[in-house]
Amino acid sequence: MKSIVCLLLIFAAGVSAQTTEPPAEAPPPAETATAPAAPGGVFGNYFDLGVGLVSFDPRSSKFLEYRDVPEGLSGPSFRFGTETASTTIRLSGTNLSQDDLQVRAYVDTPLVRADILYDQIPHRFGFDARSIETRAARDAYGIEDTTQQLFQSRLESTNPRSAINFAFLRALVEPALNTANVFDVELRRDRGVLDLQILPEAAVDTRITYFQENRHGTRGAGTSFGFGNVVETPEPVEYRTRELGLNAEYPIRNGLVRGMLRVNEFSDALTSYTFDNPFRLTDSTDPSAYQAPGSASVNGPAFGRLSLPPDNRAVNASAGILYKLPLNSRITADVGFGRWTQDDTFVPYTTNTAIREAFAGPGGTPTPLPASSLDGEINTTTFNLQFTSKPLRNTNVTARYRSYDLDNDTPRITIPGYARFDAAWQPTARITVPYSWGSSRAELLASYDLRLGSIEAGVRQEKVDRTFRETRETTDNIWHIAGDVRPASWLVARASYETGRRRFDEYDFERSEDASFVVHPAAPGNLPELRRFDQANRNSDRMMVMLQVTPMDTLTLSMNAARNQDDFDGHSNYGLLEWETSAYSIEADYSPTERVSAFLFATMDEVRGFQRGRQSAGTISTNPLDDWTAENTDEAQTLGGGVNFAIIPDRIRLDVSARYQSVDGSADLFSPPGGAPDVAFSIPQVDDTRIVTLSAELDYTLLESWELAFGGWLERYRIRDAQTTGSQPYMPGGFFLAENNGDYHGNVVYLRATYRF
Amino acid sequence: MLIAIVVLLLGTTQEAATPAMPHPGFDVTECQTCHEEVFRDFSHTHHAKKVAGSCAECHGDVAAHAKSMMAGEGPNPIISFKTMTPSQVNEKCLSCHDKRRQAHWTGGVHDRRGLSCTTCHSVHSFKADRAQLKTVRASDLCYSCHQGQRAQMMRTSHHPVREGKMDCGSCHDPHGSSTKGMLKADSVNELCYSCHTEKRGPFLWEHAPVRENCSTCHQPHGSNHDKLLVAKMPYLCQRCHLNTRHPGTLYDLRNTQLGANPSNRVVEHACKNCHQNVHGSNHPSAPYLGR
Repeated sequence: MKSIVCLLLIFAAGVSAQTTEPPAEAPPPAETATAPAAPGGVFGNYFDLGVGLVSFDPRSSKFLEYRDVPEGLSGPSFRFGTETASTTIRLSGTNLSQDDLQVRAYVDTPLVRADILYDQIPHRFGFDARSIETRAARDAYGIEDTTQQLFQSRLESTNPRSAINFAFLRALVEPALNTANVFDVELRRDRGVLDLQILPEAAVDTRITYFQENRHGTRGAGTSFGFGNVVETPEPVEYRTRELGLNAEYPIRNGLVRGMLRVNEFSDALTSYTFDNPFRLTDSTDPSAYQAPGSASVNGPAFGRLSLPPDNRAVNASAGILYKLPLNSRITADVGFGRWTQDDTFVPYTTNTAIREAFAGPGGTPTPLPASSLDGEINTTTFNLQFTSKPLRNTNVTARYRSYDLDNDTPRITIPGYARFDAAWQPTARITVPYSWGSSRAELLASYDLRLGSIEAGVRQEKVDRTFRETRETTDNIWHIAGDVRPASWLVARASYETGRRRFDEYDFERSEDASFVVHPAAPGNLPELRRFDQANRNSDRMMVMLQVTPMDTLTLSMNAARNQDDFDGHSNYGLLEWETSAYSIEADYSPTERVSAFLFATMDEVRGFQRGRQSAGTISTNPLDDWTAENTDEAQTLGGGVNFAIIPDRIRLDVSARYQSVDGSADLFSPPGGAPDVAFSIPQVDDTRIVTLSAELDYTLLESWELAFGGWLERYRIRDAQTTGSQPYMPGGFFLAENNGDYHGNVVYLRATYRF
Repeated sequence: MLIAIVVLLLGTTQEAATPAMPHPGFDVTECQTCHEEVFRDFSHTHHAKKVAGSCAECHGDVAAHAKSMMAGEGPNPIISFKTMTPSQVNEKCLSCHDKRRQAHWTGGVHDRRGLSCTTCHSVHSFKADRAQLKTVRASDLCYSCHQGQRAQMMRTSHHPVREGKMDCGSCHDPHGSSTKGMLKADSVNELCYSCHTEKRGPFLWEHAPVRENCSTCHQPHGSNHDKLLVAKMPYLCQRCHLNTRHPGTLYDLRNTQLGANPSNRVVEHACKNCHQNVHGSNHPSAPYLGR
């Protein structure tokens, strides 16, 4: 708080110290009332309302993922503005009767300039989800006690326990699932933003910003009672984020100084939520209870608890300067500080009263935790320094240094043991690990303007240092060259190439995993030869080529090719070994007359990752035959185009457009025969999608102020994925919401009337 | 405290830039006589209303231009932005706009690639009512060069850019910034936290790569995998986790819904079926982020 007051005083002092002579007054413009924007035009006033017929089948949330497409009345939308020589007020709104409404206001006066936005953003994850859990309270899902008792009794009485398999369990739960609760999984962000500039014409630029977002709804969460008992539930989301910011910028001779202060608070109305265990009405436990239900155990908790995101707060402040020097040079410097804190009260070890280690308090109350809350604190420090100069004609030099440090100063807490999935006590002491890291980047660039283009070369070094991770420091040395050529007014070509070498100082494969154990594990849990790719030695190459041709004023063709490759192979034996992305695009824009314009684009892009793993049982395998590899690939083709045609100028207009994308994903798997995987069956359908959208709109201007639009669009979406397509509410290992976010055929026809004034 | 002193000292020495004087004896509304179509939207902008001298401020001796045109001697000596080089255009615009976000333009990657202010903005012929952009949607401008990102944005898992709820400028500052990728925050994670604030923590149990960089696992421009992941689980997680038992186990077609032995480590959300709080957890019993 003291630091905030100090910074506020700085701003106040800076503003009051402003002694700039106002500029010599220019003759004021004639004080006439400015005419309102004529009908049409970017600022024209209008009001519109539509009516539509909508069908989408099956009822997939994907069609309405971030939007509303209502049947019947749609909109309305409007824009209204009024202005004088000194004051402007503009209001606009879209989809006012819909879940995705947006309202905007802009007010410009000599005293303040305000930009205000209110936006509702739906996010629909899935329709028609099914669950035997029902919402019992804001923070609780439950199952009928009679159902839990029935399932528990059946399991406890089954002998031998090996009879408890998927077929048995499915037969047991299916009647309950047939009468399951059906609901949609979705949430909505309600967001407001205010940007207020005080005395906009003053030399000092002073702004106050305020942001608030309420997020409410549900989303799917993998809540589990162990290896064989996942119970996916709709996690309740009741978040609020608020942020207040102060920004100021003061011009000085040959530059400016600026400062910023921002306070951001996140709060979650719920600390946690509970969900019933379908197979237990009463708490019980045994060392294998986390493997229930099955031959190993039929024990477990009556319900579980998932902790939800804790409240947190961030305060950020920064100050900077831009100063112009001789020889077309300038220097900019910024320094920033941030503090993030979190101190929510912890939930108890477990809900399972049968775990005596967790209920060893007086009278069987929850065992006191080593700490009641985290007292978490992260401090960030940012420093930027940039020098840019054009010391000679046609020469440009830039030198840049940047550092960012994130120090996690959260105290470490030792936990004497923990409850696995609320089912069984694990008496292994663990200690929390507050990861910190810092990065620095130093860069030097030089470019030379040739008569017909320019060429640039640069070198950059990026260092990252880390605590509690496998490496202490990695250093990436990167060289790049770029150029553009403009041999004629109708031809532009650009190309850039960058190559980098990242190396770590040392790699201790046990440091990160061990950091969270109080007693060093007797045997390594992870593969010693694994190199985690975010730290591993790596050779990287990035390339981009762009060509733009304008053979005539009415036609522009552009081609773009980009390829990025990260190569870990030769440095890593396991983990990610290769990562490659490429995209090749072509685009044409054609406007032969003022009445017609058309565009067409096509892109082929691919993402490919190659990794190696090793399958191990209770101890790390040393048998190379236990190795396996996975090559995950996405190949996409994207096409699009459209035509805008003024059939009768200023009277009838036709807009037609189409988009198509097909993505083919696959996982190509291999394992040598004779090892633990022995064989591997590749997966041909990995998020394979296809989407086609066709739209057309005919606009008819009846009178100067009235416009009618008749249009429609159809959309076809298809997804095939071996892991998610065809999900059922009960599958081996758990209950799933099995919500519908898959294929759909969408058809929309609408009529819209617009009044311009 | 040192910064406070510097600010106070500099605050007493500031000097506002002196605007150019309009050319005397010429009313800029006279430009409207020949350039009527320009004024329909332009007349409602700051350039028209607030800048003394208006047209002459950027286009030079408009009186001489009018005289030359009336004499049939051509447009000269008017300053036309269409014939200026990008650096000349930028010098003109930055003579007033070299502050706030534009202060990072000089030396930034767009500047170095020969883009000019008028590549994206238009003083007269703009289509958007905000920032006077040449297209209705800001992202359409960006896609003209960044065509690969357009295709990515069309992928099934995406931020709501094509729905109009976000655009490229929600995350990037095209004028430049000191962060790699011209991000509007000091780091990738701080940018993501502006909307995904629940991930900021800190948490009792942290996940190291999450604390460092969200883009280790997520592709914010679009992906075909759920939650914008760069690869499908479990393979994504197995790039770092090859521990004994299930983390290092190969799961293949047989463990999917199409196979004979579906596994809850593969179907639906794979690893996240159990390890739900993968971004970090505040539960005492969640060293493996399952609570």
